[in-house]
Amino acid sequence: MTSENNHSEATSAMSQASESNSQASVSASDVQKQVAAESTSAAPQEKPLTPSERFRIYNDNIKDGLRNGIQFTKHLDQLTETNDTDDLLAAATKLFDFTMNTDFVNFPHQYSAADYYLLFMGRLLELHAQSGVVLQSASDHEELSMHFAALGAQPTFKFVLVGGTNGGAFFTDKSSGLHLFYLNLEHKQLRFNSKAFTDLFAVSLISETVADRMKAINSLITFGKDLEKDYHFSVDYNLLAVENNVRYPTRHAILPAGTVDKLFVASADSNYMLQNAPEGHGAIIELDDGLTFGVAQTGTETAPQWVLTTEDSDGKISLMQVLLQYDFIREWYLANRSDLEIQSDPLIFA
Amino acid sequence: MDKSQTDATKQRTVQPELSGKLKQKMRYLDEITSAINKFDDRRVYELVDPQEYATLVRGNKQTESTHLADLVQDVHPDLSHYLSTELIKYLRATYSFFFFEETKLGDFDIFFGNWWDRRLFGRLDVLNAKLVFDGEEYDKLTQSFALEAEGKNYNSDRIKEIAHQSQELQSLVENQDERDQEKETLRGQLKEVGESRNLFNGGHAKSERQTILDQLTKLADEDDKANNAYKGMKANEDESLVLSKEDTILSYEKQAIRKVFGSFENFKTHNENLYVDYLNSLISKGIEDGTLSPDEARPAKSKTTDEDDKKDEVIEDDK
Repeated sequence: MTSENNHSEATSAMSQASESNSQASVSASDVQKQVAAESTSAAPQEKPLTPSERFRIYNDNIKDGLRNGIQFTKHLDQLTETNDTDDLLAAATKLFDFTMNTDFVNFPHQYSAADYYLLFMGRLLELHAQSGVVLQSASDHEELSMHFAALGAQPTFKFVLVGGTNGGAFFTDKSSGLHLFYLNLEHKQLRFNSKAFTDLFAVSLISETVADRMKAINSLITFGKDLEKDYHFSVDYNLLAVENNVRYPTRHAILPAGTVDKLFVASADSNYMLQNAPEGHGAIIELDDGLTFGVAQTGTETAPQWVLTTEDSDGKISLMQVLLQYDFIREWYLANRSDLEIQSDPLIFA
Repeated sequence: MDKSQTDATKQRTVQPELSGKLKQKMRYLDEITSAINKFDDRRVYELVDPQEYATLVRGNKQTESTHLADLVQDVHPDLSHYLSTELIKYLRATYSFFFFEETKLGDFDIFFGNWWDRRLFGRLDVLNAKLVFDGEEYDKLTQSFALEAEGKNYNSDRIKEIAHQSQELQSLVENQDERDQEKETLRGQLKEVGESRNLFNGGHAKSERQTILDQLTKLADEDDKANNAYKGMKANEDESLVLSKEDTILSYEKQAIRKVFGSFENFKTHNENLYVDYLNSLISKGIEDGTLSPDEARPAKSKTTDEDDKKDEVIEDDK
């Protein structure tokens, strides 16, 4: 950062800056530009600036830059230390688009907005005593990543910022690039992505135990619940929804003939029975411990809409969990994915 | 005229026989009405078909005049609807895997099971307390039980055949490259034969040419099949699914019958004796309620009930 032709004033200013913040540095060329700008703006004044005036302006600019840095550290203190969820969101929102560098003071070591998303998520879960996720920082540079406590170091996640007017960020698996969910703090939106969850948890991570995979998934569900409760977010849980009355609409409103028959044959092979639903047009399988999985046509004759359903005594089991827990249902779902896959928000996951 | 008319009136005599007949009808109608009002289903059954009741339940042929039953012929659907309530309650307890749906007044369909795409298995003849199974469906079930001895399902052979076909189609697709090479070689040979044809080996060349052409035709046929293979495999897959589904349904039916009746034979015996068993159950209920005297009832022995009294068994054998 330091330029070859340091002016003596710049050097002394830099040492001053270093005293207040070891990470700050001041570029001499910036100083020159600034001084030049000052002289131009002071053009109506015939009299050129005296050296002491120049130094006062120069000094003020540095102070502003340093204050900006101090302000940043205050937000960061708040993000890392507060126990108040409102303060947490306020700090996070400030940090996402905080510009640390000024013309006079630059910070060579900086985290990115994506890291503050991750830090915010980690802190919110911490405040709700959810220890399912682990935040980790790179040892050689400023970057955070997250993994699930139950699954170990892989897969690792980071946020990927979305450009454009909508903003927000995807919670993304670093190795596969799968976007598990979309988070927009400004619009208070959280959208889970059924396709990515299926690809990751029902396919890639198939060798991990169901319990461990569910622990990981549950920490993300908790995150959604926290956002809803604390900040009134709108959350689309998609195939993670656990409430009994949730209907998961299939990708194709009309399932091809034979789709349900295939499940019927598969269930018999696994010693379960696909039954006619007691009411309406559809079928159910009574799984274990009061858990029921259903396929039903809930639309009208003219506008059919097939849906999947899950019901359990406590209203705690999602379609995702059923897919993980019951091999024959998962295999059926994956084999007929092009018709069955539950749709994610089409505006976000095109 | 007046006189003759008066004479005619005078000539007419009282018709005790006719009024007796009519009174009998009225009595019959009164009785059946009262039985219905008292929910005495046993009596209704007896009145609706005295012949059947006498033969099967009482074990004799002494009947109340059967023709009276014709009086209610036109209200059979209503009677059937009325009697169905208790009969279906009884059937649901004994044949827990049968489900009944009234399609129109007094007409009931029998569905086997509550599983997906369960079969319409026949209809319920309420007035005769009889399960009337669909011949084709019943036949499949019978065969399916018989095939168990060979360790096979109803559609095992066909499913195997289809799988084999699909495998052949698959290899046709996979062997396309080999066929293309072979065709090229054959075409080369054909050309050679054509060029080397001369006056002296004309006959030989002709037969050689034909052999090559035949081989090429055979390969072209295989190409055609390979081109349609995807369609064929899809069709096989669809057919296989239909057959597997049918096998699954049959296996559920067999399981259900075994669970309730122990064996197919026992199931069949129960079906044959349904009328007697049901009426006997109504008689027992009547005796318990005190609405029926034990002497009156004299239930016949059903083949499905355990060692009843011997007397009734003799009557049963008489019929």
